[in-house]
Amino acid sequence: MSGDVLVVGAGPAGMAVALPLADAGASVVLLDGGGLEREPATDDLIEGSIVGGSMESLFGSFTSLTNLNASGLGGTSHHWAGIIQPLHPHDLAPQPYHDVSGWPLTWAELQPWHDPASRFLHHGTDSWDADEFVSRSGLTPPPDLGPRLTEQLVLNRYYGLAGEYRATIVGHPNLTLVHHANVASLACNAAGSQVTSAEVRTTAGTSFSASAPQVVLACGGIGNPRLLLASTDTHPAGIGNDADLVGRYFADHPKVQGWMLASTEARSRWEAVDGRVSKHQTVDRGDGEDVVRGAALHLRFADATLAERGWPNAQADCSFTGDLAALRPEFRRPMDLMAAQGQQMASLGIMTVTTEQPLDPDSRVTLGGATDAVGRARPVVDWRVPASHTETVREMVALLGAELGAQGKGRALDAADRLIFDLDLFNLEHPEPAISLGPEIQPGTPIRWRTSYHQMCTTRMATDPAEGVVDADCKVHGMDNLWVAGTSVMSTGAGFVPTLTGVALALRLAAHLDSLP
Amino acid sequence: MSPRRSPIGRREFVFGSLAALGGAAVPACGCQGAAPPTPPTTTKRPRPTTTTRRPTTTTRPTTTTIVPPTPPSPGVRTIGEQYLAAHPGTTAAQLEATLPAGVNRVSGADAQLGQAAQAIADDFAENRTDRLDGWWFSLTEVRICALGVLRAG
Repeated sequence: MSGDVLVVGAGPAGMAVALPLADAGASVVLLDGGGLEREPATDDLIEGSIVGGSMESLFGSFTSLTNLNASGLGGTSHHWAGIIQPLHPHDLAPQPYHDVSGWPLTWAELQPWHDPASRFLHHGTDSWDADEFVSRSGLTPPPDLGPRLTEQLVLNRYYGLAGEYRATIVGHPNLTLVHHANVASLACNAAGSQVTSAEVRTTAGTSFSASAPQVVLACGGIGNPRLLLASTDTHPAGIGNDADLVGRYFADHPKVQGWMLASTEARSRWEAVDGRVSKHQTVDRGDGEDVVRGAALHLRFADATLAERGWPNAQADCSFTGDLAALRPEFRRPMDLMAAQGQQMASLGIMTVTTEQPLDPDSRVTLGGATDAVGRARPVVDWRVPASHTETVREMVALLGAELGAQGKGRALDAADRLIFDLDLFNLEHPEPAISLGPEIQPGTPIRWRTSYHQMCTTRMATDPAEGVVDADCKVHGMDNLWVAGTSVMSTGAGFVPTLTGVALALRLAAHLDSLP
Repeated sequence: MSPRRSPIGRREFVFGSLAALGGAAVPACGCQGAAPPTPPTTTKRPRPTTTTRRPTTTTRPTTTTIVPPTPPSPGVRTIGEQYLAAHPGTTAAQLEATLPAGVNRVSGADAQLGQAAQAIADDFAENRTDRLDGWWFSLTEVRICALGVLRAG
């Protein structure tokens, strides 16, 4: 089996590479280990283990990598909440909190791909300007947030990406989708500079090879390093791993929760556009297009604040409870304090702070001893967040609280690991009176980080092969025809939800491949 | 944001007027063991008005006319207690010395919080904050709470 381009993985990034190339006339072979729908049996093929046994999320702990990954057409989009937001120019610059940082791309090279990526993800284009969005949507003008905070517009549309593209992919004359095709390894020429074929295995026990002049890996932040590390025929440590970087710098967006008491004004501002996916709230963008199903405004530190403090990115997403009368004394005390100041608090809100984690080379994906049904080594994920991040995030919550206080809009509580409640985070219309606080956590106590289910940077992009696996064109260093698509090439975890960035980089890669002679 | 000026209640007014008399009133009522806070020298003392007759040698206040400041509300009291627990040995005089200008020295803590709104906002803007039981507060507001606790006894 052969074509002009071989794409391994039919998730968002794989589709974003394969479809434009096929549309441009290239013969594309798209391989995926799953089926046209998500299947439990094929999910097991992407299963692995987590160092420490489990990962924490806002919804509890889990032990299966299928909480991060999914098999089949659509890949990780099966977990995607439909949220997109672009990076900022600030994100591409070198940052002091990373061991290695700075993207080899300029803003002018990345930014033009945001709108095509937004269209590919069926969100349409948008200005991404929070104030303009608010104005256009007829929402309440923003209160003065003070100089240290700004707002980030986040759009979401809950839908199935696979369903949107299934018919197009299956029926495309230039695209051959081979499902239930598990790539076990890549074979190279004698010099080790070109991938000559991919060894494909099926659970039925058959195998075949696929080849193309150009090969693109689009298996996700865990699957991409897994395949590179498993391809040892001519590269004993794995393809692209001469600098021992494949799988390292595994990055997520660690979350922590705080609480805030918010004034009526503040609540109405944020709640007006709080289109959390589960509420299916529609915000009319004002242009007549029924595309954006929801939008939210997140609190975000201004770039100047981040630079001044040497902080990574962070955003706070606020959800509010309704009945303050039902709160326990530990929450009512600040209400008395603020009532004395003439500030009537309307809401207690959950403030979920999502952060960019400092890159850590020991946070990584490796291959374990266990094998899957087609004989491939299963991946092992060791997610680590540097200890310094704990105090940084506590300082962030303090600053959020300070800004609320300075504006007379509320007070913040550093509640990481202290919350005791039985509350459906996505159904806050009926708050439970059982919310309470456990013993105070002293400064310096490590935070139990919650995952955002993201997987980034494991084949990070860097000009210097000593700092990254792929170059600015997403080509694996030292290889002539091997490329990587998706969030694993992100140089840093940067902003919030990486889907738009991963697809933008994949579309950019497709255009680059199309331009090759 | 301009400072919020809370009206001073009659009870506080009576107490304030008497306190302003300082040594003239305290010995007369036999309260030497409970020395009143020493106001900063830069603070203008409240002046009695025509509704309060200045004591003379023949008009001595009685203990029944001395009304303490309104006790702090429950939440304010607890926050004050938490501050004092975190800063053992803190005295009322130390706390009074930190009261911002424009705050009536003898008002109750809740009233003082209302009078200190601008100073509290300034605290937050300039990162003069304190963390008590996880909540981030302005230094001014938690000190006022603590002063209210000490004065309420």
